[in-house]
Amino acid sequence: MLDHLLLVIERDVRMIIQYKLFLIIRWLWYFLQVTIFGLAISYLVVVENYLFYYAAGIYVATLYSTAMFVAFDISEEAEHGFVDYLLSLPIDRRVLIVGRAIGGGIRSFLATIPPLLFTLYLIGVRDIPILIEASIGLLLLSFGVAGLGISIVSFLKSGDKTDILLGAIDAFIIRLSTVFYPKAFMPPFYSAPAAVNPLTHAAELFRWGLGIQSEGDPIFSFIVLLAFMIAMTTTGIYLYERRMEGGGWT
Amino acid sequence: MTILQEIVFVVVNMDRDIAIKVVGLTKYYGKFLAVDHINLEIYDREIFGFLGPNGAGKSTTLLMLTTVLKPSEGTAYVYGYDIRKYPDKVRSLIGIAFQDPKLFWIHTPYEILIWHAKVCGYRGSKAREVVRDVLSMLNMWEARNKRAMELSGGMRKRVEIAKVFIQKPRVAIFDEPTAQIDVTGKHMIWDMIRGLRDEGSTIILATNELYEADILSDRIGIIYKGKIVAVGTPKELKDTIPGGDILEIQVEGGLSNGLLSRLEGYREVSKVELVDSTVKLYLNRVEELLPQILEDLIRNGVKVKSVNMREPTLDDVFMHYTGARLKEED
Ligand SMILES: Nc1ncnc2c1ncn2[C@@H]1O[C@H](COP(=O)(O)OP(=O)(O)OP(=O)(O)O)[C@@H](O)[C@H]1O
Ligand SMILES: [Mg+2]
Repeated sequence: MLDHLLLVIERDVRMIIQYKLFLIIRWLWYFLQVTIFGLAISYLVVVENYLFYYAAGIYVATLYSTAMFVAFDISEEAEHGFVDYLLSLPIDRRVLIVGRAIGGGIRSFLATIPPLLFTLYLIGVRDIPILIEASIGLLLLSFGVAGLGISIVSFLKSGDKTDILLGAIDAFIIRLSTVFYPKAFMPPFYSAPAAVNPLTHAAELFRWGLGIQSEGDPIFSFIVLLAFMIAMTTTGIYLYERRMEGGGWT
Repeated sequence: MTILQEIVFVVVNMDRDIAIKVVGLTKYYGKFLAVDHINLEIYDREIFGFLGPNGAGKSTTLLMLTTVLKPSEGTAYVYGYDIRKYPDKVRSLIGIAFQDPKLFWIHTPYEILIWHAKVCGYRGSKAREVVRDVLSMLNMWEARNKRAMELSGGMRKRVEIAKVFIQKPRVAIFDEPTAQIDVTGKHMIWDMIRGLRDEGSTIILATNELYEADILSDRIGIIYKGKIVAVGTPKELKDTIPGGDILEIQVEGGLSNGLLSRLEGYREVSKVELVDSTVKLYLNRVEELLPQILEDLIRNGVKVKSVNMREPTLDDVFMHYTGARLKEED
């Protein structure tokens, strides 16, 4: 069972290596976004030390979109019939899903190490234990997002629909959070969803870990992220077991 | 199933010889009925040939057995485990080589099979060993480090079936294993499939090739338009065609009417024709009857010059049950 879990994780982690070029472009984008856009905008906005605030936030956004990648992998596998193979293996389906959520989370963490290091270099590390605690929170976010991706793709059972929905969610989940701006600057109908958005809690926890301006209680944020991960993995298992089958997709 | 039916089922299946029991298995794709209430028993350690033309429903049935597809109605029991209730258990007993090879395009055969071997429970050097052995047997060792997308069609197929030979599952399913494979390759794979059976696996082999089904299968199920139309050993199936065998006996000087009606009197003989000096009999179980008939003729003073007999082919069987032919007329 543990063997199978590790093998599923290993497969997904190795899979991201095939996106080498994509990753490098992503890192470059991050670097330019922070050093050019972030720097420029920090002169314009009233938030104190906005460059740091922005760098931490955009790292969380990057982590989110990389973790979501597992959904595209699954829909791709289904379109090419490869899912039949995974479904036929002597692996417990729950192990398969939990493995993919964990694998998807770990690999997004690994794939964003260069942006992470750059952020740490930019902002500086004040307190290592606190930073580690915050990082665990970020890992929980990655697992949860991978679980969300698995849930969505299993529910829709369509590559095209998955692309569209993930694009829409991406637009909202990042904007309705404190990834780019503090809650105080949001209109009330924005700040309510932002308060429950896991990205908000991940961004604030990360800022807390970096010792820069952050909002809310880190312990509460940590609990929210833990709950998010558990809820999403459970939903993923439920939907995948009931809805996923092989033999052709739309 | 009601509880009573389930109890009856369990009792009936105490007979260890049944590996798989298929009960009313059905699959709709939308409104299209692809597999239509199939009932079937597959015995322990036999090679069961699943013979049918394109679109008959072979792959759909096999995908349901491996729990990759969910049945619309009905179910199947794999060594007593209901595929709907215990899919994880069923998958621990079953392995399949798909009709279309399922290879991740960027990986090499070696990587694909090492991962597969580990999933099947091999560790470290044991995994490397079994992968090397199976790849060598399939003549794929030299191509092991090519990427899947660089392999030829037949090579991909070999990698796909390697998975089952590595896994050695209780129930090994091959969906058209030798399509795209060259002639020497076909014979090698047939031998390997027989070997797997002899080591104790139950084999299901889907095919639309008459010859493959005939020489390899212990029993054959003919599937047509989603329905099983006949099941039996190749010989049983051929014998079910009334007058399916043809026996031609050339005699010196013709036969008396008395002798002709005597031949017609055999229960297995359905028709007798006399053309010049050749008697043509349409009958069943020719190989059992031949000595008796010859003896009969000789005892009545007939001089037999030559004997020629022909058994029906599986295609004749297919024709008999479906009204269609699998093989193009030559
Ligand atoms: N994913 C699918 N969606 C809709 N119809 C399907 C799907 N897969 C198969 N079918 C249909 O179901 C029927 C049975 O298909 P199946 O693949 O089981 O046939 P088969 O006996 O394996 O044929 P072949 O010898 O060509 O492999 C066919 O009419 C096919 O068009
Ligand atoms: Mg098929």
